[in-house]
Amino acid sequence: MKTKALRTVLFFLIIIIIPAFTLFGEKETVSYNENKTLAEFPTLSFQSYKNRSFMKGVSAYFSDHFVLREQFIKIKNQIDKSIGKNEINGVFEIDGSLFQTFRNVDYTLTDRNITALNKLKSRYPETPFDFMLVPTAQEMLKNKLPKYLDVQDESEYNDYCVGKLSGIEAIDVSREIAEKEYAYYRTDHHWTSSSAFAAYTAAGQKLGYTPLPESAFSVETVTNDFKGTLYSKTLNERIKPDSISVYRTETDFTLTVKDKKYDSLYFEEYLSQKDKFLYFLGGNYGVCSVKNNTNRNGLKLLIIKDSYANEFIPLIAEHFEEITVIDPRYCSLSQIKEINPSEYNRVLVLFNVLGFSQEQNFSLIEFTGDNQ
Amino acid sequence: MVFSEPVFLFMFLPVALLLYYAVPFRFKNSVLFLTGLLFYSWGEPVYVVIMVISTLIDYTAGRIMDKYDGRDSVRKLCLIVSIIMNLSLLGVFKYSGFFVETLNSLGLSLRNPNLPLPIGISFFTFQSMSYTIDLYRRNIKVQKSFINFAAFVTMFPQIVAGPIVRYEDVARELECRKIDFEAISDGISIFICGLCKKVLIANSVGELWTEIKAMNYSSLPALTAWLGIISFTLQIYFDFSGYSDMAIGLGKMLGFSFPKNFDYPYNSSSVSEFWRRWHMTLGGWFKSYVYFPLGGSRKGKGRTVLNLLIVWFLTGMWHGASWNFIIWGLYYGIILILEKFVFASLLKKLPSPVKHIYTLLAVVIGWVIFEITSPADELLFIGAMFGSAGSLLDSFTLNALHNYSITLIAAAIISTGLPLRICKELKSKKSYGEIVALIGEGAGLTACIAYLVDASYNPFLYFNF
Repeated sequence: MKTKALRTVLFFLIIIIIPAFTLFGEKETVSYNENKTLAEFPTLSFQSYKNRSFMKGVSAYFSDHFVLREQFIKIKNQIDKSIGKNEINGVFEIDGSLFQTFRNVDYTLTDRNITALNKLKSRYPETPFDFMLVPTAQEMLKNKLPKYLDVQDESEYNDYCVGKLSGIEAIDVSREIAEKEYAYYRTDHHWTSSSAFAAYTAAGQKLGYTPLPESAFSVETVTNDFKGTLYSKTLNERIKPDSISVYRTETDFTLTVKDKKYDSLYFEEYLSQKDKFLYFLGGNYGVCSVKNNTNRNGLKLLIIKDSYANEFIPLIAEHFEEITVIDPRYCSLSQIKEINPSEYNRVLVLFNVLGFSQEQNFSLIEFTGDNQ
Repeated sequence: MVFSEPVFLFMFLPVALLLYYAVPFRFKNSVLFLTGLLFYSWGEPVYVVIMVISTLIDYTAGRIMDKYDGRDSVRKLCLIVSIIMNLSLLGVFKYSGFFVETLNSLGLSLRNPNLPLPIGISFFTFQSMSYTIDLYRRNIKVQKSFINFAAFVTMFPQIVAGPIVRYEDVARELECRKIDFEAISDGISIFICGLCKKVLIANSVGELWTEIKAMNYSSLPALTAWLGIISFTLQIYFDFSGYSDMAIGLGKMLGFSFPKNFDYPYNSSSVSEFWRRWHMTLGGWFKSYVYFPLGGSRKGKGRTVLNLLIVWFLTGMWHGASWNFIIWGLYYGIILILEKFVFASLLKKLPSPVKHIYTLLAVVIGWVIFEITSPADELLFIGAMFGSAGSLLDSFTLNALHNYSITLIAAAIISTGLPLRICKELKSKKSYGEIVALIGEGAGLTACIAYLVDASYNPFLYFNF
């Protein structure tokens, strides 16, 4: 009988305390890990009740502000792990690192993307095009992965893409990356700047520049406390936070985004915030340009890229007076039509394997230079 | 609203229960009625009107039947009005699209009204009909208070997904019921148990089935097909019986004892037995209100077969407005007829493991028909189960086995009822049993909350890619 009374009391405490804290406790307004603004309490009206937007709003508000939300999610992930479900939101943990699994490739999308690239190239036969598909962390870890993990091979995917290119040179930097000890962040889906540096060194010959030796750069660790996107997806606290390094020279650069000009390619202010990867170029823009004010050699490069290029652009910028950067994910058709590839000495396409295989907006690049 | 969402658990439930316990007894049914309306309108803010109207009609039909007690024609008329009204609600809202499409496939070109299905309509119409039919049969007494009757129809535990509570099940408790710590505590235990079944098991194995269901059946490795349909077999049991448990538990907390709805159906050693243990309140409903009135098995072999086919046609159709449900119902009708008239003696002689395997196989094939809408796909899927794709497994199968083996095995063991029986024994025999059970329930509830909260967590895929 005592236990029965205890059970009743406990149950009611739970179903009263949780809503009390959820509704009346201190609240955040944004969720960094989900990159969204948290829901506000909806207003009740006849209309909002009738069309159920009120109910949906209450549900969203309640889940967004649920007391100890992330703690509960961690409990869930822990239980899943203990019963064998060790992949969380497409992220797998091995040897103290997290990586995204690469599987279920949509080859129709890949074909569409490559066709768009080939079409663009065929309109500018004089301009050399290079295609650098960077493997993700899975490729480096593939020999350590458990047998049951049904992932796809990234180098096979790379070969598939390269086989479809016409008139475009492929640059493979996977060997150079593999030699790096700290090639990928443990808590983020990007390669490290040291991998980007290896790629910069390896790609010099094909892209027509003589890479500077590492000694020409001052290498500096700017933070040791970086918890990236893969942390956000798993909330896995056991993984050691990453450090971000930077390769600097004395060269003077200007970054132009729309009408705004910045005199550095690195944004110190983001190092004190949660998303520290924004340190490189300050994020992603539909179109931006990087001007080398020190080495005015007249060379111009057009880069079509995803965020893997953000650590790479500051390095290669040593060798080109001007680089225009297109990020098809954030770019509009009208913006892309304004850029004329024939004004550039070369075009470089730089994506990571997983990003490229899922990129819905890539085929936009087919229309680059259409306004000319 | 459904029981397994945070808004129900942490907003509706505490408010409804506290209000219910706080008011004196004579207002308790009003609280049930009002909270039931709120509960229902949360999911169906418009259709709640239909439910109120249907409740009013059935209530009035009952009162008139009672008033003209001596005049059979009036009583019959009331019954007919009530039945026609309830069945036309079902016909219009649940089956109109199906009828139109069937007629169109025969050459007509009618416009599909595309009415959205009001939640729980199959349940509350059947519950209300049980009242007028039983009243007509003089099995029960009339309910003079509208509030009491409305509380019966709309009370939130059973309105959306059963068990199908008949008026006679709760007639006495509507007037007078005992609510004490013991009942509340038992209700909590049953409720948490049902919540765990739904959130921890059904949702989890359901994810695997969703993945496999979407695959191409003509190249599906045999083991993947089996994993898929076993997952669904467990999902539908844990989902449905979990929901019934939650309803029964909530009912207990409010002082009602609802009828049992599932009795470990996968332990059955014949298909007839399976249907005595699966969704028992639905089977009971069809038996009392369709099978027996048709004459049941008392009018000779031929008539019995026909009656069974009618009942199973309707049972199939009750589950959904689509041909595959009708095929599924008739599939069971035929098996039951065979078990009754052809294999009865053979079935008795078989060793029990064989009987068990036969039953499970029949049920699993049944779920294929139930869950896959197109008959062509059903055949492909059954083919895949027996190796028509030419492969046993692939890398997906291995990954699925790694991720789901523990859940599937645990679910299969729990579905036999053994763990719960051990638990109950422990509770009654050992002094620490009660405390162990309480801790177990606490852990289960915490895990459920964790999974429910996680379901709303959407780390943004593209951020900063």
